[in-house]
Amino acid sequence: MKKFVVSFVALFMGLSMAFANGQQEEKTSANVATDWPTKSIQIVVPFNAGGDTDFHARTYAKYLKDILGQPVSILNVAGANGSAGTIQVRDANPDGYTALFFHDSMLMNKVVGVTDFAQEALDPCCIGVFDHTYILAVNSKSPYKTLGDLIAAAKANPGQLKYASSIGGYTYYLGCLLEKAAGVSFNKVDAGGGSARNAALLAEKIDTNVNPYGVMKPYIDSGDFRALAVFSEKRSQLFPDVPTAKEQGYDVIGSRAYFLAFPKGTDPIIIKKMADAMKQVSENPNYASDIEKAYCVEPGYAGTQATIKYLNDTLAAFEADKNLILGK
Amino acid sequence: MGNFIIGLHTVMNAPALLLMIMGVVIGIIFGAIPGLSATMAIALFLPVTYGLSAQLSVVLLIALYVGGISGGLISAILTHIPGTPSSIATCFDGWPLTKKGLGSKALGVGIVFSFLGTVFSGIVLMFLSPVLAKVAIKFGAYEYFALGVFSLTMISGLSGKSVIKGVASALFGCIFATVGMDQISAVPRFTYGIQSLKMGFNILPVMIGMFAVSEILKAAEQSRHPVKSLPVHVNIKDIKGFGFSLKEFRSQIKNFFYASSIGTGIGILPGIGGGIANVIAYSAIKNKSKYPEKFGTGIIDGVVASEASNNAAIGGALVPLLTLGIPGDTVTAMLLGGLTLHGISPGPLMFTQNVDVVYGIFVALIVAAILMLIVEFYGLRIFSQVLNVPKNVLLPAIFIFCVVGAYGVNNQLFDVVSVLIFGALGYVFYKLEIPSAPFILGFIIGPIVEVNLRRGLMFSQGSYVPFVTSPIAAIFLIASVGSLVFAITKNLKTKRN
Repeated sequence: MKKFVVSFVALFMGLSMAFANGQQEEKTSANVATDWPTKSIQIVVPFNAGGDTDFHARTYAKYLKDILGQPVSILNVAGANGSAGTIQVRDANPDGYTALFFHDSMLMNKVVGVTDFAQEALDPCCIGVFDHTYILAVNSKSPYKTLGDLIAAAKANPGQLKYASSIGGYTYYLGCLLEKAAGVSFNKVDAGGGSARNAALLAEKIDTNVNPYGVMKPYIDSGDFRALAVFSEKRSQLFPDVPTAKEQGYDVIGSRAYFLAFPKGTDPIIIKKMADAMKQVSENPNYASDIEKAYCVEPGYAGTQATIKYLNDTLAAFEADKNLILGK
Repeated sequence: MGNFIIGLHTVMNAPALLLMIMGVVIGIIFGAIPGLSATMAIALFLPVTYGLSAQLSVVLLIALYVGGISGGLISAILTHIPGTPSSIATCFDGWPLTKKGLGSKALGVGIVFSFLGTVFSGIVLMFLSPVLAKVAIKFGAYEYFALGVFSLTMISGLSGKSVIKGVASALFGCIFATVGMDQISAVPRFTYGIQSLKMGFNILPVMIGMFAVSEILKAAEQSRHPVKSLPVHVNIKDIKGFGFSLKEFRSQIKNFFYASSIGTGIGILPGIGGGIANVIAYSAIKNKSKYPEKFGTGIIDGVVASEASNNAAIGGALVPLLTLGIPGDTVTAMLLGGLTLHGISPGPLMFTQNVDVVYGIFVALIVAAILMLIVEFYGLRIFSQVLNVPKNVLLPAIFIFCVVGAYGVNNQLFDVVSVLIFGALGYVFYKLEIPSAPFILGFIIGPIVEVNLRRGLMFSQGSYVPFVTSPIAAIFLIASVGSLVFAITKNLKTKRN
């Protein structure tokens, strides 16, 4: 009996070593990057399943599978406002089989001190989606019909109007920018995440709420909320009735870019292949209708160089407004 | 009425029913095995639903939910390890009943009242959800703060012999919950520069550690001095009906309505689910009982209180989800994700735009309850088989599940480390005779109190006045003082005696 166990263990160890060798050979072979992908690719989403980031990553994964010919799986690693998953990918093997799907919060995390690194610690691949749909909404029962009304009320009652956001988050930053552009001050309060803030606005616990259109869409359609402005260059084709903040005289632009990034040191051939595949997805009409239905977002794509530039510029903009964000 | 027929269409077809049976069975298994929970079952099955239609997905998820919440009673009653946090209070009387040899009665009572609790909340959900939503939405920061304080003071009622030890345990829970980035300004607290601690402790590993790993450590300690082990016998052939008499059933009707109302009510409040409902319902029914001293010694009242309330919380938790798009607990948070993935935004509009899904959920809840009753009762022997394996085989296996389950929460090795840390802590608590349920409640409620206190102060720009002038908040704060005074006087009385 003992002999049997010993020989079994020996066999097992031998086999596992053989496999380990095989894997090593695979890594050192010359045409690894041109063959990529030869196995399933794992995309880390640094938030829980069900949110916007998770949705966009999964929608991409659905279409990438057919283009790349390998399964693309999503791994949710939530925690520390997205930095837990980011760190996991940063420290992963740069073999092209682990990637990160994240957005501008990665940069904000560095600015507010949650992490001490941002995009420079990774190899960005491309931006898959731009969300230009940040809107400002009020409860329909409120007297504010335009952004101007709201700003006038804020001027008359400095620091009184309750602007809900996550402190240090992107919507908080947008609030700071609006305060600066309009020369007013809000009472910027924390009222939880997207749906909690909807409830707070519904119950008139807060005066105004800023979020992507898709998060507030049901309440706008039902007539509970009134969208006063969208923080984009031009009106959205999907909700053309909402005027931009800019055309109302307040030059505040907000957007969120969802991008894919590989661990530092990933072969440029792999990055290019992935970027091309994602470009192909972003041009797929089925994909466009998926994201329109779920989040009222139009497709948008940026290649590797443009993505790196976007991330650098955005980080610089956040850094420049650091004191504004940190409330100093 | 037409809407109900649409709902029936969603559920009453072969693929939907097959998925529901599968969901209930898997849910019960996940609920029964400590360390696996309804939350985890749904988390694991969410990827499966991407390939299904929206209607089939919700039907499957609801079945997993109902099965998962009720499955916890099996291990709670037979092994004193709650399979899920929703059945913590089921241990209090279920396990003593098993020790008395009345395990099958406890199981029968648990299953039947789980069923009834689900049906009760399903009916409430269907007919009262619009009305109840109007009350729940009035809850802002002040009200949540007061409710949290009230819940924390309620703990004194279930802290066992010593109020001091119970309160200490709850405070420890609150302290451990502060580790990580604070929820408002993302300032790292108690992280000592360790990256993993920035995420804080996840509730699931904490619970698995405190309740499952510490139990394994206890068993390991006792194995040196073998106590006569009690084999788990579930022979449903010997049971008449569901193992309890009609008279016993009648004696529990009052408790049932009380527990179900508490469960549904707590389920409706966002952020608090069956995990807290069962403990609060247990202590509330204990406090109002004519024979509170018998609680914890093995009476069916305790099982009814816990099992009716935790299942009633399901329907309750669905109320804010469906009417407001706000999840009532971790499981409904995941349902929210599942619906969003299908392009459905839960909210008031769902009742007109996605009638098939909304009414499908209503019908599925009732159908899942019926399936659960049949599957769980007649499958008891199979479900309890896993618990009948000798402890030296079963517990290491459960330990592996604990570790795998903890890892599965977030794919982080740190969660496995937390399981071990909290397992050791739970063992120390046991040695010092400190109850661990208040710890968990403190861990969950502490952050709710903190966040809402800070939010409230931001709203009021530093004034504490609105915390007492808001009528709902005032009621809860007065009730908190009342429950503290009550607990202290009761404690003094028992000491004098």
